[in-house]
Amino acid sequence: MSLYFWTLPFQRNNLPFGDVDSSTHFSIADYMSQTDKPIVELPFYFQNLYYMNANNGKLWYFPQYHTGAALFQIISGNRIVGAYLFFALMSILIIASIFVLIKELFGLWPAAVSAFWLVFSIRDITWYVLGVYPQVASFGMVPLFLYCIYKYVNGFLQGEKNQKFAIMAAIIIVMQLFTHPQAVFISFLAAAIFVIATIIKHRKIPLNFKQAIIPVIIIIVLLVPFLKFFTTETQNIAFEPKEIPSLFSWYGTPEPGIGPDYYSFVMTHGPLLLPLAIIGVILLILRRKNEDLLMLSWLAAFYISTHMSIIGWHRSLRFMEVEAHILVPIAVVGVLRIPSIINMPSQAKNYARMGIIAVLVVAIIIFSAIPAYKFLNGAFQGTQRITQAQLSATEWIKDNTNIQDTIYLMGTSTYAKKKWMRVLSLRQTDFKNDVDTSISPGALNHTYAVFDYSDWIAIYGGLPQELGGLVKDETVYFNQSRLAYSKDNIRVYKIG
Amino acid sequence: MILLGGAACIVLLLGILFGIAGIIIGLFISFSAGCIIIILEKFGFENDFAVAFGFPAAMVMHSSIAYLAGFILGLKGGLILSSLLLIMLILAALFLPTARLKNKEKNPSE
Repeated sequence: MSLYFWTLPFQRNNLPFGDVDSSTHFSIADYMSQTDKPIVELPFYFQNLYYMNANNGKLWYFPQYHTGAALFQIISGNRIVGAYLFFALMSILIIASIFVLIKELFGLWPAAVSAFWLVFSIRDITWYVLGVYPQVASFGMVPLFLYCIYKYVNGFLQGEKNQKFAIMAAIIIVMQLFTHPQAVFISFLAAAIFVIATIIKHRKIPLNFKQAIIPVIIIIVLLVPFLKFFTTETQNIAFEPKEIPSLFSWYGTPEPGIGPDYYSFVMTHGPLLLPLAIIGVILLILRRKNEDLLMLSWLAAFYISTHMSIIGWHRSLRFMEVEAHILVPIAVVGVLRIPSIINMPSQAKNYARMGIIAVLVVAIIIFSAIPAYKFLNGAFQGTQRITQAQLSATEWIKDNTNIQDTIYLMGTSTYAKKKWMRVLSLRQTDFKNDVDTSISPGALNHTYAVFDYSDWIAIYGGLPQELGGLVKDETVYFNQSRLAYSKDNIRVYKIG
Repeated sequence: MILLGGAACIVLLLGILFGIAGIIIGLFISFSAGCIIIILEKFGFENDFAVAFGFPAAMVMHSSIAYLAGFILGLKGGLILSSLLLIMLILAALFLPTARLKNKEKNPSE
């Protein structure tokens, strides 16, 4: 079911979509699959761009995620569907992993309902649709890591030898690191808080340090071939007193770069989650079994990670993705535990629990599934994403120009789409970030100039007045005899 | 049987939605994740965990090997190499006794 829902944005329309960094994630995979060679440094057409600053021109982090997408492109023989199926399959990991963890901790029904609810988590869907794919996948592995930690700690407290779970936890941490390093922070923090909580509760250290040797060796062995991908980017950490008030705000200090709805709990999760999560947290605190402590530790890790601005680390925007992963199961577990705290016959408790599940599923469909379906089904419609005309033009550029040729792109409607035109062409492509109302002087210093009016004509049925200057400049500066490509209101001129 | 059924559903769904590309990817992930799942079950891990872990683990394994080998063999060559390694692993795993069965033999009351 999750596979069907999350692939909705490219089921009927196979053209690439996404905002933010979607085109760059796509491009790293695409460049490797097009050339059939792995890369250590960013593709040449990113030179002179800010992407080069993050890690001295090298890939920003480990190459596994993008290589995986490249392999899907190669296997499927489809440049777009292959990559997007990889992104979708890796992004829905959280649904399977939350089922595994919650089933182990609280049983089948809480696990099934939590996983069902998370299929429609707008927070996760937003990041996936915008194109921050590696992060979504890596956060999806957190529950698998916590599952291993719980099995190890619980087994240890009961006198069982469970080293295989320590080994598996080490492998999952490496997998997270290979996918996106940020989620490793949540995994370690939640596990550390859980271990401290169990030490306090059981007055016993719930791990054998000798048993940590093999997992540490495994981590080192797996990481060694990829050591050069440890980023050189550093963060200055310093106490920021002005951030103290943010500790009393659920989301800490809002960061720029995303709409205000993102910081609205109800707009993101609907009206259902907050009251149920509060019930869940209260019941977890009251009971405090090991499984309850694990959930509370994960919640504490979420709170800490979204309030790191107090030490100058402003990454709460990304860490907020964890919110649904932790609050949804807490809400479900809490509401399903209500019958067990009311004094009534066990048969009646079972009926009550079944009734709550039925009501909850209906409420999830109304408040989460329907908005999520609309969001996914309507993601990047029409000219909001690359059109067939634009894809054809970029493929012509890719196939008919030399690698050293440079392109100047004008007319494409949005900045995100201009970025997409660059990466689909596999050529160094420059452009102005704003709407092109006239020719840029720098355009004439390139090998080719591209005039793309296709979006505007598709939207308005003709060119808007503000583009009149660009059309005039095209006729003044470009000789029709140098026209190399003209199709669907996109024209490419050879310069010089 | 449940595993095979699940794999068939994924292949069918991807085939309906994305045609030949979907079917090929469905078969690839079913084979790769299936191998990891069988190996994990041999070591006594529960089905659910093995299923959730199988796909990302297989992808990280393929991409790590294909990436490193790709500098010499190209990505396609690297992918073939990682698939061969996976087949060798699964063949080796098939000769291992299943950990859960071993536990039951030790403790028949389970």
